[in-house]
Parts: sequence; structure tokens; C-alpha cells
Amino acid sequence: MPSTAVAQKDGDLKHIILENRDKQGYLLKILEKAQETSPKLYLSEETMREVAHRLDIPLTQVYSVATFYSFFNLKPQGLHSIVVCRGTACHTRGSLALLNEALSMLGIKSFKEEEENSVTSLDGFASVRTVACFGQCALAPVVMIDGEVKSRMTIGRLVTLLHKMKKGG
Amino acid sequence: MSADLGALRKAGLMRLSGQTPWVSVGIGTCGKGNGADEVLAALETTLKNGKSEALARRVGCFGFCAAEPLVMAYRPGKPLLLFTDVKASKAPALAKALGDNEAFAKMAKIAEAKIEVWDFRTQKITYGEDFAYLPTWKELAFFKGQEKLVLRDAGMIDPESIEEYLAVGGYSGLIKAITTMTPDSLIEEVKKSGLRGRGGAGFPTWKKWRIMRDNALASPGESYIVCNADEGDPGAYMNRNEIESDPHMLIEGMIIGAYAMGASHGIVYVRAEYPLAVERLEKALAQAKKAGLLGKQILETRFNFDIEIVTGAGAFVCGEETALIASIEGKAGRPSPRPPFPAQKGLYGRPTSINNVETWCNIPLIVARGGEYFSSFGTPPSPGTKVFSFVGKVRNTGLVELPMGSTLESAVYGMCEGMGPKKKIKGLQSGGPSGGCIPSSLFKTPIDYEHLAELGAIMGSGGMVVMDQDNCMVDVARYFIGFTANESCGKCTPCREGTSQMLNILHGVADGEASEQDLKTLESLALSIKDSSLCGLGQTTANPVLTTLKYFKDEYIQHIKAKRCPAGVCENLYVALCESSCPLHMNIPGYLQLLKENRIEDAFELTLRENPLPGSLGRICHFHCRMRCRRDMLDESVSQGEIHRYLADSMYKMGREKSIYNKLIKEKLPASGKKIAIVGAGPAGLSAAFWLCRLGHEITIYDGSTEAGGILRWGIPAYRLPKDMLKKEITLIQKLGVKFVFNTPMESKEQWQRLIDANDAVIVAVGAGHETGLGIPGESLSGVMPAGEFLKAVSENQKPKVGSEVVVVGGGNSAIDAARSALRLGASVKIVYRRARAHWRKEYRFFA
Repeated sequence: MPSTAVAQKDGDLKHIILENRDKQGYLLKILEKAQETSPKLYLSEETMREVAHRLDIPLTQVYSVATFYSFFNLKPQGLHSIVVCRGTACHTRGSLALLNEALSMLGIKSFKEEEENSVTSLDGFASVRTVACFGQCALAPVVMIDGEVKSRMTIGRLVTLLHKMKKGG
Repeated sequence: MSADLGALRKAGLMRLSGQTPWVSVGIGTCGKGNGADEVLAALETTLKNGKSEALARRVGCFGFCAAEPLVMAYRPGKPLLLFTDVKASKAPALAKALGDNEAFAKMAKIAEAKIEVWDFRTQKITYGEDFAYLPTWKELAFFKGQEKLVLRDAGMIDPESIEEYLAVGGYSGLIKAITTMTPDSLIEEVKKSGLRGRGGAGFPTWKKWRIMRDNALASPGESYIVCNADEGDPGAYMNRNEIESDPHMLIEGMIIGAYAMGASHGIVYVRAEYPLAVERLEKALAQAKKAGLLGKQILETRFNFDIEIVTGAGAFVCGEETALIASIEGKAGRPSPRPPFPAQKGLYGRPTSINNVETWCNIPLIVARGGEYFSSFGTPPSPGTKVFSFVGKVRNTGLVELPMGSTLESAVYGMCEGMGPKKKIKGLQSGGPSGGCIPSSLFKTPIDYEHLAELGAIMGSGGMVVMDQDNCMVDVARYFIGFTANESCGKCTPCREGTSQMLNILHGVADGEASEQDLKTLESLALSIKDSSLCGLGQTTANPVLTTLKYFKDEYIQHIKAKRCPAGVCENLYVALCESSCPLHMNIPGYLQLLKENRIEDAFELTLRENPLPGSLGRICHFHCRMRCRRDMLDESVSQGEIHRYLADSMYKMGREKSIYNKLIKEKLPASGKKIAIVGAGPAGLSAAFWLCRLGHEITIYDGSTEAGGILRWGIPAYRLPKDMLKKEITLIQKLGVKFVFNTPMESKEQWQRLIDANDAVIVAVGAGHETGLGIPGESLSGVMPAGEFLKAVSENQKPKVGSEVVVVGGGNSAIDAARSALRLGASVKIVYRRARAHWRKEYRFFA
């Protein structure tokens, strides 16, 4: 199984690079798409090497971009994703408590918001990350669970949703 | 207009105001988050199953985010009906209402408002008049005073339909520009409008365009215009909505700009966090290209221009021009020093002009209607409107488009309807991490570039986060500095090192470990970061610190000196929210626990040590603790009043308070030899005496009346606070050795001087009993009585004559006491309250 996934990904990457290399903001576009299509939603060292090689740019440039922007993951991501908005409106309406609740429910001991973009539970079940602002401030606090934005979140609702996720619902 | 465009336009008009009834659902990201997709799907299914000819339309967001999902219903010749907070279960009723006028009229009864005519600014559509009882949309508090120029189409048309955009006059500005105007006359028109950059700095747009055009002419070859949609300010999302609801408006603005500046390429740099905006913009670009409005030979002229989208990857600093350019070039988004300015050497070293989304969005209107039309809104230095997102602690959160120069007050308390009577708004934060905090005492300030800058804030992109008593301003400053410290690109030292040092100090303040010297260091650090950073991010990063230090210094001091976080946010500095909010800081969790263990005497003792009047306060306290109680999230806040009463009443009934009184008396410290006089025997004077006399001082309380108690005795009616209860509790203070001197109003200077001479200290605890009146004509007529006077007469048992009809003006505590007392005197009572019933304290609505 893993080998076909990688092979498929290689093909994708070649295609992605060819398609975007002449566009404005090509490197961001290529890295964004490469991450999107990677099975564990991250940029591996091989991916970055490949991108640098095919674009004929220094690997340091690719690495510099990949580490600069918070959107890029350099570690494999969990099966599920929980994104807690840490924007001002969400903060004033208690998003820190939501973040801590999500971490503790997934058994994640600590998460240094200012140092890393995301943290994944040891069993690889889910990743928790924060985002500067979803722009959904009117409905704060906001949490995105597996790509779906949930507004006016409360700790009670979050607990229910995570229980459901754990049960596979 | 070419034949093709004419046909598209006609098709759009048929959909918007033709013979086919429709129902529309506002689908922006906000709506989606609140179930708008489900509502639209339910409507589609219901209409399809009912074989109805009516349409279910998707439209953009109408801006009233707090009331999403928003739905409108249309029948030819009738006003549009606007519904708020619509659930999918409403679909059958809505579908039925589209069927005939009778059902439609029935549905109108539950509508929120109607729209009889809509001014798209480039076109007007009259829907019809009817339903006289229904307010128009403009009469709803949220929309009163708004002027929708930028948001003219938002929520009215389908953002994914170029037909509908054309139908409401879209692209008429572009056609006018390309077919009848020269680039120079276009820039002249923008100059006439007075439009200034909507990204926040407020640079005159025409000037930016002029410089760019001159540079592009001087250096033939490629040149670029960029739309900055990297809306990174937390709390601001107007750009997201502008693109999501009306992407063609942005495209049209950019094409006109390209024509005026002579640019060959356009780029929209959008945040990756806005997927729906990207999707809709992509669709709109494809439609514009197909219609010959974009690409090669636009409108069959020799003008070529194309637009590409670049999605950012989550870096706040990319909102800065030079960082944004680096990002497009495939580098990390680090800014570079200016000059050279982008207009000279920008993207790939070529002339580049970067404008904010909203700036571009204003252009089509300015061209179509003329610069003078635009400048008829707003103020002369800041013409036009600006879209603001009002979020945080207000009832109506959402996007508000205001003419420049409107006051903060009108928006916070008018459109957003404040926070109601339970919470007090403390201030707001304007302009995101680069902006500042403005206290509510300055809400009379007009909103424009200059006035906000004077306060130390900025307009920024227009995010306004409102804060109330539950927000700690130290925490707010810490939050923003944490944000910028995290987002600092690290290139220049002041910003990279300075922000993390500021953050350290703020952590110290929040943990109660800072000194006043630290505040001085914080301020000087903030000022040097402001002066010496490389880019706009660094230069403005200290604003939240500087403004909170300026306007909310008392909160910092409380954290440092009293080691208290009054809002109950900084975890190290409070025990529990109830304890923190209590003006006496009673150990509420402590006595609740004792009570739970059935140790009623211990619970009473713990209470009494901090509050000498538990039985009285249990009846009449304002209960700050209840406003902060977390139990609220489960069912309702803990009834501290009842618990206090239960404690005191049971103890008094059992007569077990005496041993505890004796304990307190025994514990008194040895006499200090100091004499203290307290003026006023109300609750403040009594508490001061209670504490001071236990410290061994000799206390005398002076009061002008015949008994102790102040407002408790003479203001609050006996049915609420039995006089015996009060008397009993005052005996404790007497037993502790406090002396009372009654019938001694302090009227002369000599009296005060004698008091000062005879004592080591004098405490003035006279309360706030002065009647201020309403300041309206007729107050001096006979029969008009201030509440205080009336209640005093009642408590003196004078039975004042009130006649048979009484009107009470106001809805607060005194008003209700007066009303209930008058009722007891046999009058029929009416209460006149200036706010809506919903804004009234819940427990009072019961009486009405």
C-alpha cells in the first residue's frame, strides 16, 4: 500500500510543478498543492528536495518558504484535524479554553502555540492547530473540525463532537 | 454595450425581478457556519418536490452575521421579505408563501423587515409596496445609519452569476472608462472622489495611481497591479465578505485601475484561510474572461489585461507591501526597506501598485456615478464609506458600512445595540494588532483616519473588537503582543527581540510578578520599537501596549499592587470569578463548600468576617457574582442572594450568631490609640467602621439622620429589606465598640475642621444620594417627585400622597422600588423606560 501511495504522489508532484511553474507565486502554489495531495498532509524532506531539483532553485529557498508560512506542515498530520481560531474576537470569547479542552481530550500534554503550528496526538489520531483568524469573528468562538467550520462553540459542544469523532461517527 | 453583454444583463434582470418568485439564502462563510447550506438545500428540495416554478437562489452575505442564516422572499410586485435566524424546518412554509399573494402576506407577519426598493447605486430596483405594518430594512436598528456603497450588491445578487452583476449596473463603470475616458481623466475622477486607501493607512488613491502611471510610462515593459486580500488582522473580515459576496466588483475595479495605470498584469493575493472567497473569485474571473471583459482585447479594444490569484500561506506580515511582493516571487515574506517603493521597483523589479480589496471595490462606483457622488458621503478629509466588522461583546455582530465621520457610539450602541444592562462595555480595539484600544469614554470620537490616529489607534482594515468588563486589558495587550511576536518575520532586531521582551513583561504583569518600574520599561521599549522597526508591522506593533497603558493604566496597577485581575482573566490573580467580581471579594467558593458540608455556623462566620451585613446584602445586593457565574453556561447562575439570606436568617432564627459575634469581639486587636471619624452611617461607613474597629482603632460615626443604615434604611422599601433585619445586623457593629452620633448633618466648614482636629483620620462615606434629575422641561411641576425623596418619605412611614395614577420614569432599581411602593399606596402605576423591553433586567420584566 505505502509504495503505491508514494508512487502516485510522485506523479502528482511532477504534474503540479509543470502546471504551476510559470504562474505568479509559483512556489507557494506548488508547495500548497504538494501538501494538499500528500496522504499525511505534510511536506516531507523528499518532497522539498524534489521541488527544488525540478524548479532548479536552491533547497534553502524551498526550506525557507516551507518554514516561514504557518500553513505548511513539516511533520505528518493526524487522521483528523481540529483547528482552533485564536483571533481577537475568538480570544475574547474564550478560545484558549477550547484549545486546552481539545488538547486534553486527545491526550496531548503541551502545545506551545508560539513555537509550532500544529501538534499531533501520539497515536496519530488527530492534529490540533491554531489559526490567526478565520474571519468568522461575528460567530466567535470558531473551531474547524475536519474542514467544517463550527461557530459559537462551547466546551460542552466541543466535547460531544470529539467524543463522536473518537467513536468514528 | 455589446449584444452579448446585453443578453446576459437581461437574463440577470429576469432572475432578480422578473415574473418568477424566488427565495434567496445568504451564503457566505458566516452563513455556512450557521447552517445556511442546509436551509438552501431544504428549500431546493421542497420547491422541486412541490413542482413549483419558484427559484431557490444563493446570494452573498447581507452583513447581519449575528442573525444568520438570512433569507429573503420575492413575489412580483411585492416588497422583498427579510427573515432572520431561519432554520431548514421553515422551508415548507417559505415555499408555500411563494405560491400566491395570500400565503405571502401571511408569511409577511413573521418577517423581520421588508425591502420595497433597493438602490444598487448603479441601478435601482423597485420591488413593490405593501405590508404597512412591517418595518423597512432601514428601520432595523442594525441598518439604521448605514450606507451601503461597497456592500451595495452583497446579499442581493448571486456572487457566482455575472448576469446578475450586469443586471444591477455592474461593469457599466468599466465600459464607461474604456470607451469614453482616458487614463488621465480616470485618475482625475478618482482624485475628485477623494478616495483614500482602505487598507488602513489612508494614502490618497489617486496619488498612488499617478505615481504608478508615471513610472510605468517612464519604463516601458511589464507592470503589475496587486489586490491585497491578505486580510490578516484578527477581528476583521470585510474583505472576505466583499470577495465572497461580490467578486465581480473587485474584478471591475482592478480592470479599470489597470487601464488607468497602464498595467499589464493583475494579481489578487488572498489568504489561504478564505477558500470560499478564492473559489468564487476563480469562477468570476472565468466568467469575465468569457464575456470579453478580461484577457486580450477587452471590449474589443486594444487593451489587454489579465488577473491571477495567489493564495498566501498564513503569514500576517505578508499584508505589508514589500513582504507581499517577496511572497509572490516565491520567497519567504520578509519586508525590505523603502525606498525604493513598489511603484518604482516592485514585483520582479518592475513598477507595481498594491491596493486593498475595498479600495478596488470603490472604483467601479466612482467611475459609474462620478467622483462627486462618492464624496457626497463621509467628511471632506475622509470621503465615502468604510466597512467595519463589529465583533466581540455586542449584541448585533456583523459588517457595518458607515459614512466616514460617524461616531463609534452610534455604531456600538446604535447598530450593534451594545451589550444590554447586565454587562458594561469597557472599550474597543480598532485596527487589529497594529491598532489600539479605545475606552468607552471616548466613543463620541468620529471614525476617520485622523481622529483614530489621534487616539493612538488606527482604522486599519476596519476590525472593531468590542470588550466588556469581563475582558482584562492587560490580557488583551498580552494577546496582541503574543500575536505579533509570533508573526514577526525576524528580519529586524527591534521587532524580533523587542516584541518578545514586551511579552515577557506582560506575562509578568499578568502573573502578578511585575513592578511599577516594569511598566516604565515596557513603555520605553514600546516607543523604541515604534521608532526603529523596519516595516509597518514593527512600527505599529506597540500600539496595543501604548494605548492600554494610556487608557487602562489602573488595570495594570491593580495587577501589580493589589495582585488582582478585576476582570477575572489572568489565572494567577483571582480565586474564582464570583470572588473576583464581588466588591467585598468575599470567599464565595469557601462558604459554599462549608455549606455543602452542612457546617452552617462556619459558613456564616466566613461570610461575616468579610461582610457585616449578610442578611441585608443577601436581599438587596447588585450581585456582581451572578453576572460572572460560570454555572450560567449549564443552567443559571448560583443564587448567592438566596444563599446569603438562608445563612443569615437561619443563624438569627436559631440565635447562634451571638457566639460568633463574641468571637469577633474577643479577637479585636489591642487599642491603637488612634481616633477615626466616619461621616455617613450608610453601608460604606458601616463596613469601614467594622474593619477599622477590629484593628483596634476608636471609631465614631456621624450621621445627619436619626438612625444608622443610610440608603438601606431610607432608600430601600421595607418590603424588600425589613428594617428589623438591618437593625439587628447594625448591633454587631455597635457591640464591637463603634460609637454613633446621630442628627448631625455636616453643614459648615467649622464642623469639618473640628472633626479633623479631633481625629487622626476622617473618612467621608456619604454615598451618592444627590438627585440629578432628568434635565427635561416640566420637572419642577407640582406632583413630580425624585425617586429618592419619595422613597425616603415612604421609609419614614409618611405615606406620601400620590393620587390614583403614577408614572415612573426609568427602569432601574430606584424606579422599580418607587413603582412598587406607589402600587402599595393604592395607585395604578405605569413605567416609562427609554430602552426596549428586551434590554430590561430579566427579573423586572416579571412585574410588567
